Amino acid sequence: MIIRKPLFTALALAVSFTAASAFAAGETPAAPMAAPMAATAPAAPITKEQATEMALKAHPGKVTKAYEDSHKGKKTWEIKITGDDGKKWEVYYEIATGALVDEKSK
Amino acid sequence: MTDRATTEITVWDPLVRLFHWTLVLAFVFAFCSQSDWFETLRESLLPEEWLQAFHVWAGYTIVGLLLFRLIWGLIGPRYARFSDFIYGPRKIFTYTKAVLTLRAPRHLGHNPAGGAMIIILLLSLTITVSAGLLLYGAEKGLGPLAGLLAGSSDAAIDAFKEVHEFFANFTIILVIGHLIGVVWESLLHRENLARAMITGRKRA
Repeated sequence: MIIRKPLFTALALAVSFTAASAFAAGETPAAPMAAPMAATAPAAPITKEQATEMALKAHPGKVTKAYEDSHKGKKTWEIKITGDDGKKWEVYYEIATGALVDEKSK
Repeated sequence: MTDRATTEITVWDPLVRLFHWTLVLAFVFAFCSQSDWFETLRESLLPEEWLQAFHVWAGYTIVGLLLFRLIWGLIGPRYARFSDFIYGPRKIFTYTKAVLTLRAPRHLGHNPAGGAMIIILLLSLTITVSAGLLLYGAEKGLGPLAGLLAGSSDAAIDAFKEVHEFFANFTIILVIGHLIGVVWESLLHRENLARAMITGRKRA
């Protein structure tokens, strides 16, 4: 969203992507890792780890919670992030399609 | 006459007592499963999906209990009826002043201050669960109001959330006031009011 420091953001993204990838690989070895590479929503079901990865790409920081939750009538992965931007983010991806349903910051 | 058992009468009927303690459990459960206060503790115990499900069912339980109490307040036994414990503002004020100066007369059912507290508690809980149902429908698209609230704006969702949280916290303040009142009155009239809500019996 608000990217003021591109270098720092890129570094944070790289670190979080690596960490999330390692985590996702450990959790779901069979999960295809190509889908989250696309910035836009892949039209296929996504795992929690993929949703986490996508959320971290959009809002680098520390993931405080990641769980299944309904949001505006859709089954979503809700990812809560304490962002490096100092904001607390809640990002929702539809489980069935990977589409971004909503994102809020406090 | 000196036998304590023979001088006690049943004031709180079994349904009022069941209502009271089920409400206590449901409210504590609902509050602890979502309040920010216990976030760290509960996360180590249960996954968030479960906590949310428990929260919602605790809320539904409270809705059922409030509906029951509304009916019981109209058709229940003497001490359960609203007509037994709803007093005018002047009586409530006079009684509260008497309580604070340790001169309040004893009541078998709810005294005017206690009765007022029960009504405010019930109203506060009603607003809390109503806002909760609105929030559940608008934000998650679930619950009985989901169809009605589909496509709610973020501002509406935030408003429901604010009201739900404010009145949940306000209810906590009322509960603290209620407990202080129970202890104060118990000491003032030398009787265990908490025990009376378990056994239903009070000194005649």
